[in-house]
Amino acid sequence: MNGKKDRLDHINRLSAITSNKGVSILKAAVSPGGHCPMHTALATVRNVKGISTLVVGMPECGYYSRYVVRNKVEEKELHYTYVLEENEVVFGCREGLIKALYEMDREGAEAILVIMTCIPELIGEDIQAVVYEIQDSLTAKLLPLSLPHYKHNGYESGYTFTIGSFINLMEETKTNPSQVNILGNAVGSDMDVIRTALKEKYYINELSHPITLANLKLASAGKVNLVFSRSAAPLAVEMEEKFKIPFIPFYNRYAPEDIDKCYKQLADIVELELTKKVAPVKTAIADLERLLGKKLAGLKYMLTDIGIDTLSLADYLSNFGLVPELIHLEEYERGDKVFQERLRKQKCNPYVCYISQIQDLDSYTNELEAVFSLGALGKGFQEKGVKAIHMKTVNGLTGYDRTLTLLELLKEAFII
Amino acid sequence: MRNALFKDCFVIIEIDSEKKGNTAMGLYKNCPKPSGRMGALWTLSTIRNAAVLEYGSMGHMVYAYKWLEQTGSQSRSKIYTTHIDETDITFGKTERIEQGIKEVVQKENPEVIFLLPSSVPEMIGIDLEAVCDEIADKYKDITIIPIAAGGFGASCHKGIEMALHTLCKTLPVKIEVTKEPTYNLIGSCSDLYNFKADANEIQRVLAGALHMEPVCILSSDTSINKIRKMGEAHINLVLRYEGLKAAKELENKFGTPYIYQRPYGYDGTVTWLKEIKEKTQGKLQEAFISAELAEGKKAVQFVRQMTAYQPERTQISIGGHGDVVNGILEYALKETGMSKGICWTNDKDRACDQIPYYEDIRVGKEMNHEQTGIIMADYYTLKRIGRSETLKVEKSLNEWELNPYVPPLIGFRGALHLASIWFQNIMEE
Repeated sequence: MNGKKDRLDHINRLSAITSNKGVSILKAAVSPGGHCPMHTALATVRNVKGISTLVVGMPECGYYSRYVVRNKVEEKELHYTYVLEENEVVFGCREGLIKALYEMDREGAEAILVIMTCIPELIGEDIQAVVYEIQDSLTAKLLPLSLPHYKHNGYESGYTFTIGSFINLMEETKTNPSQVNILGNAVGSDMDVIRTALKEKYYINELSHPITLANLKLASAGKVNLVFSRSAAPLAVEMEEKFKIPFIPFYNRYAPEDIDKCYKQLADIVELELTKKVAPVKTAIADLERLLGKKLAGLKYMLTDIGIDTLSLADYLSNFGLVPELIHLEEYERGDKVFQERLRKQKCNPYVCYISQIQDLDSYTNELEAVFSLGALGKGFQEKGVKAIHMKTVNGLTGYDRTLTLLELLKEAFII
Repeated sequence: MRNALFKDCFVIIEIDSEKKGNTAMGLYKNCPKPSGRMGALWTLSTIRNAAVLEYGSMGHMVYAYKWLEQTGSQSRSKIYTTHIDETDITFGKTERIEQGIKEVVQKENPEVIFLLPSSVPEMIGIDLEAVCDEIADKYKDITIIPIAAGGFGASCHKGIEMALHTLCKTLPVKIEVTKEPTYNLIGSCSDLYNFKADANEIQRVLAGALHMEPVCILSSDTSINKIRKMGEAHINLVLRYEGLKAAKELENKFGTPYIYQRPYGYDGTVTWLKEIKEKTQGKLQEAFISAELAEGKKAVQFVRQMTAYQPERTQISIGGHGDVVNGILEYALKETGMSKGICWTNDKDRACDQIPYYEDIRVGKEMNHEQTGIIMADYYTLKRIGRSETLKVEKSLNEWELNPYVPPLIGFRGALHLASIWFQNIMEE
């Protein structure tokens, strides 16, 4: 058995991953580690008017979560914690939890995000049953979330699950043919074109930071959901299932042909032809793809950036011959399967793992071969001459704009 | 209906009159109390040449790291965490611990690794002691110490007590006492407000008054080597009750006597020094002490005068750690003539008739805008009732204490500082 395989055999390759359970953390001991999903769940709603929170768990969860949210006298929202007593760890906390929710309801909470952390989940506390039992007797809308950290690696699910829970704030209603929902956000030229064009004919219901309860309640009337953030994708899927609102996944489309499909779908639904306005850059993209295909084909790289949809990006880059050696993946989700299959068809089978601290990667400078990374690198790889290409200018963009910016970044990095 | 009075308090909810007996015991409207595990982690994280590895969900340690940054502590262990997943939980697997220790050893080569469980491994009954026994043979030069932190009901104070005791039980070695008199400071821990300045003042006073130097400042400014050498000290000075068990352990092991007192006030500090002198056969430097007393005379006199002219303004209410409350209260009452207001402790185990334990709802009720006199408490209580931040005696979450050179509350300079802020606040009220 060669040394390379030995040292990395705790990490799966892409072909072995069928769920989030297959995505291992790169190192067994990390310092100081990463946040749990409770953190990002709270971060998502802390400035949302009308949404209160209740963290249910151990003193650690209760105490440290006050770094993220705290009650402010001038605000109506309640940010409380429920800490299990010793006997509740054994016998359950259902009774106490119900009383706490009634208390919050009496205090005027409009909606309560109930975050169940590791221990209540481990003891099998059924928050859905609690909601079922008491929701009708409360004015406050309960949004239950199961977020034990041991079921996830990082914190992304905190965003995703929280945004997904907003489906509970939406009710079946008549479609407003003049309303378009924007889930997540993006900037840049494509986004400007989309917004400018939509504004002329449509009311844009913004479901991006800062989200408001009013916008959420309106969302079920939307004609279409434009999705610009990976975290919002599961909500869009649920809204399609529940309210038959179609969605257009701009967030994970890099290849021009895939972006074309998004704009075509948009044109079909909202009757706005935008392709001519955004498509001029397609020629530049095609030229760059040809150039980069010639110069960079066969080169190995690592994808370490946390701000992008890594599997869909790797799939796109494989089109002109770039070979992923290792991909950092926050959470493996439903939408990733199609890109996984595409990569496998291209015979790409990178290591896929969760990297807590980028310096952790330095332990594997002998085991991993790469010429560059998209995303940060520690000193170890940089000293080996591996180029770290930072994605700050790319993240946050969408459509052709994003793809062009990415390709120009690659061109510049290799001084082509 | 919401009661805005209690919005910023720690609260265990009151029962509704229609729902007698139906209290939700664990609801906190502001910040719950830390656990024993947290107390243990905070105590161990300031020890140099050591590593702390927490086994459990990864998310705690990044917060603990931030908490430690906020204490401004320069003395640090290397703190690590593993993660844990459903397979580990279902099958009780411990490979992550073994692999984690291997990685920590490779990267840091510490002298000691403290292994702590977080709540999930505690819940499923992972036997950390057995795990440590199994892997100890692979690391002959490294001591791996499992830390129990008291289980699910343990308070932060209990965790600190257990950590301090474990340190004194497992690490100190047989050693000759130093030729010149030395001491260990037990219970200088980063969870206490102003701990750095207080520890600095104690060192200054003991150097000046008795020409004594410390062996070990446990645990806010120490190393594994210094802990190992604790047996060479002539006396152990215990600053908080959580350190008593540790001091008794050292007394059993090495015959080292101990004194349990937080030295507040001028008389309080002198009494403390005299007791140390008796137990160590040291020689008190009277010139140093006289100079310190002379420096504080005026400030204390000013406060005394106000107690005569404005007694309602010179009542002192104070809440926090039991030893802090007791010490400051004694100084205020006996040396400056102030009268006792409402006093409470944040620790059930330290409650007594004179200093009861108050649930935070009680603190919220008692400490309001109508309360007169001096109020000393934590930042959020003081802010809520519009009192000066200078009167803090208890640490709060999200406070940054980066400057170790702020005035102490302990010792001679602490006495001067307390008298001056009391007087200033009395005059302003």
